[in-house]
Amino acid sequence: MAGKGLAVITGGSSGIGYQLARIAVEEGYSLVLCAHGDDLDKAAEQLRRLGGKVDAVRADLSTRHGVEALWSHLQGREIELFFANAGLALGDPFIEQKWEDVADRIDLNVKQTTSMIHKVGRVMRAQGRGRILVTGSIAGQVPGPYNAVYNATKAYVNGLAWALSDEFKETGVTITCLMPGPTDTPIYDKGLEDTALHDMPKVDPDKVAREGWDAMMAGKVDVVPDPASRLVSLFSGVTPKAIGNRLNEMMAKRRD
Amino acid sequence: MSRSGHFAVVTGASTGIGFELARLAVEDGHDVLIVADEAAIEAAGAKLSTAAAAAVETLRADLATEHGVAKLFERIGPRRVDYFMANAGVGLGHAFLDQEWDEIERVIDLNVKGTTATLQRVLRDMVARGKGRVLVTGSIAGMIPGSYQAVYNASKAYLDNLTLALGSELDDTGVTVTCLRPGPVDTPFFERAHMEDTPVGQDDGKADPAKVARDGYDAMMKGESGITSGFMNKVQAALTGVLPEPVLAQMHRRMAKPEGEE
Repeated sequence: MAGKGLAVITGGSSGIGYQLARIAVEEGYSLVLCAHGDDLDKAAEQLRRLGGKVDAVRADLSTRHGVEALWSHLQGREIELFFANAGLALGDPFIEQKWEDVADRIDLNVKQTTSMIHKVGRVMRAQGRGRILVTGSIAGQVPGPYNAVYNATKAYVNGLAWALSDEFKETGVTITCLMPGPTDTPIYDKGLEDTALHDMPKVDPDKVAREGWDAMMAGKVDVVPDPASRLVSLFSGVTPKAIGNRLNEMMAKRRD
Repeated sequence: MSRSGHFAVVTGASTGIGFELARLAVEDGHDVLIVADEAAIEAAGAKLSTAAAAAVETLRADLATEHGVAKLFERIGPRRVDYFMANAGVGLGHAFLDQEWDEIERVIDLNVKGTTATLQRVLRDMVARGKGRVLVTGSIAGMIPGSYQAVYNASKAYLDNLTLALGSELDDTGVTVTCLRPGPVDTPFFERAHMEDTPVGQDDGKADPAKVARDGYDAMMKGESGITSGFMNKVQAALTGVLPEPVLAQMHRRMAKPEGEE
């Protein structure tokens, strides 16, 4: 397979990130696969078995140190594709959440996502080419009682990605916002156990990843990969926020 | 106006909307603690004191840091906060890839993280007492993807979204959370965001901060979930539900793009 250059994926050991990594390998890209959990080595091994050239970088991207660790692997290299995918949810009422957990979600979903896009974006602008796919969420389009900080961080991510897709015009760099609805990934096992969201029907991450990949390659501004989610996205602007609120509350609140 | 016995805290109160919010609280006879990360907070306190029937206190603290947040709550101490106005925030203009990381980080640390930290501490106490009113200064910017102001607008999308969720979570607790969503307001904001050289920075039709503060203050007192201040801003907010994001981003580009940039 002819090499197509480097693809960098954060949160690449499971879920949508892993599926994006798999497609990148199948398409002939070399990978830098970054994740924090125990499943990183296993994921990297699986991707190598598919024929991929994979550097696994263990780094906690909720810290500046983690971003620097990842960046030290990338410095001086050309980057064709960047997937800003790492992110975590956080259930329970806001006032009962631990501040350390809230701060961790802000640092991971908002701050370090921004930092990585800033660094990679500068490299790609200098190259005059590159494609970025950001994993936002339809959650960013509706307020999220009982998952409030997560939804707010995704409102940030969606907003940032849309703005940058406009700013990057004529730089040769594109940025696409992938806005999944509920997807069958481990995100629901890390803070949303015992909620209706955890048990509701979900879309396969490989399907979500494929739609994200295609939208990125077409240089689209955004993509909502599932018809039911598209409905939520369509109505989030025109129905009273209160309805969206109620819907989300029903889904994310823990059962007593 | 006689002293009410109520206690209000306003962050980012040295100028602009925050100062005007503090003035309204003072006029209602509330004890007020005003906070900002600059020496001008002292002058603001002195100005408010002349009209005050109640106590006016000032605190210099940088709420972008954990230390600053801790300092604020040390000063509040065991006192009951009746009204909390989370208004501190900073803008940042110019193209994202030309912005310095330190400045981007400061927008996130202050607007997103510092505001979230102060809200969590205040709301815990208010819910425990079953009473309290909170006003968060979001922005209609949060509803529009912000070319040439991308991180700021995204930070306000975070706040607009968070505030609505918290208002819903706290239904029936006796505590209300209101989101004030101003459009462009005539405050030192644009100068601090390096946006003097943009159409929106130079526009002389920006709203009066006193009027915007009045809208927000009244909405908070009524316990409303949110208020978009200004007629044209209401029109714009309504359009955000209908127009696709790329069109909105282009509208924003026209307002916020610095002169002379290709």
